[in-house]
Amino acid sequence: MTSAETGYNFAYLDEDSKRLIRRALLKAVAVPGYQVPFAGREMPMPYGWGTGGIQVTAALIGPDDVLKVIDQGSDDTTNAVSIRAFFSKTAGVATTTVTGEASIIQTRHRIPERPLKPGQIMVYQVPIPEPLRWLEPGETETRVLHALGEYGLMYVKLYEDISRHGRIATSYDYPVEVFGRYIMSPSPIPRFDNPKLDRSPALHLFGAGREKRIYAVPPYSPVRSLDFEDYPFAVQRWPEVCAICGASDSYLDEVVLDDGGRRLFVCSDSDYCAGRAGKGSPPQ
Amino acid sequence: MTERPGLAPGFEDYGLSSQRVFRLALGCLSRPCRALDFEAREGRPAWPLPPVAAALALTLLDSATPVWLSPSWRKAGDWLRFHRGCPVGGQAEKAAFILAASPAELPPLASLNQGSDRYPDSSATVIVASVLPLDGRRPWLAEGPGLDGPVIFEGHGLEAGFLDQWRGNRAAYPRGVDIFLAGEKHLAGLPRSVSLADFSGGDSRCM
Repeated sequence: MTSAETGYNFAYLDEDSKRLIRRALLKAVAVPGYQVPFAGREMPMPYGWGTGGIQVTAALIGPDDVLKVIDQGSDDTTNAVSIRAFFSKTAGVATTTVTGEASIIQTRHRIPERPLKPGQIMVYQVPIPEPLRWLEPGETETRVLHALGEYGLMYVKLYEDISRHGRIATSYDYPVEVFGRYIMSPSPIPRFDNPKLDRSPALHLFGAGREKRIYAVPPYSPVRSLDFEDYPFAVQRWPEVCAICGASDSYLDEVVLDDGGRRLFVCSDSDYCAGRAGKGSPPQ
Repeated sequence: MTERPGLAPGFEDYGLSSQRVFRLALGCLSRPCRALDFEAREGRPAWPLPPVAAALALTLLDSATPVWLSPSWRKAGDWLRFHRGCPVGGQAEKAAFILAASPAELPPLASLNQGSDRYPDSSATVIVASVLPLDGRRPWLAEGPGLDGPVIFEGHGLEAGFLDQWRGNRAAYPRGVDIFLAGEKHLAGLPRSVSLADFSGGDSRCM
């Protein structure tokens, strides 16, 4: 086994742990949107830094994979850089920042702007997998609600949003219904990204390390963002375009420039932006 | 060594082989009813099971997964216990994995562990030896997650009566069993989320 760092198993995680995660992943794919409990392991980083996603990636990854890691759309932030380095070190795999070249994309809270392809796998880092958790704190209760498909609470929450704000104000982690059965948290992606999940050709796997849950959306699965007939689901739009590449179709981050309140908007997806601006990502 | 099939070797490199086999299994469940070529380069002549089923068993089984073996495959019990430490020989209803040498040796799906409403993931997974249809004689229409619209599924040697069993399995969703069809050189997945209908009979019942 050739890994860059000796003394660790391939991709860090031991084979017993990988196997139980793999069995959980197969169940998760068979029951789209259902949260499979798994015996999550301690990883060499704190909860909140992607321990769930890393365990899923470690159970998936092989020598032929090409890994991309993004954090809020960017390949260059601390979390993304260190997870990429973690897997090059422990598994010796190739990494990339180019969406189209990756076989596995681990992500914290964005789906890339470039359409995903069949065969690609998205791995999400999930802080709170239970979409009903803020409405019903008890795990035994939420289990029953999921078992019964009793999701009235969630609609009441969205309705309260409308009565308070005049619209559904939930802007990220916007709940979805998967394959007409389970209500699922898409992880804190902006609701701008929700439509990309619907009938996506890629496989989407979600790992929550602290809460020890794994769930999945198989390719081409119907994923519906919850809404009401008179308040249909809609994504955010900006009057501005990206200040670097001029994109009008991507998710924009607001950057404050000075104390005078000047600001500009740039693409959150750094690969998409660099590609459009003609500065393709450097080969790795 | 050949007189002791229970001690036949497993994977030469467990980490790399199990990763490769798992990715294939994941691909089969997430793109159901499609036979993926399985180049069983791990397979050894001494294995007591056909290479694809054996590789899948080595990849997924361990002490947490009680296994039930169909009569023709009982001889593999020692080998599985030796390599994976899995409990073998209990009742089919309580097994986490069902390994069957042919669709005819498969217990009725409804008699297997279906999981519970709260924990549908606790259900059984079936690995059954199958054959690719020689003449496409049993065209079924498959529909569900992982499929970009309905596809023709040629049954892989499953009996005609399987369709009724599968309807029952599908009706219990999200409870139910998931099936891997392990051929000589291919693997296909049939997760519980997929509905099958008789294509020739014009039955267009879907999810």
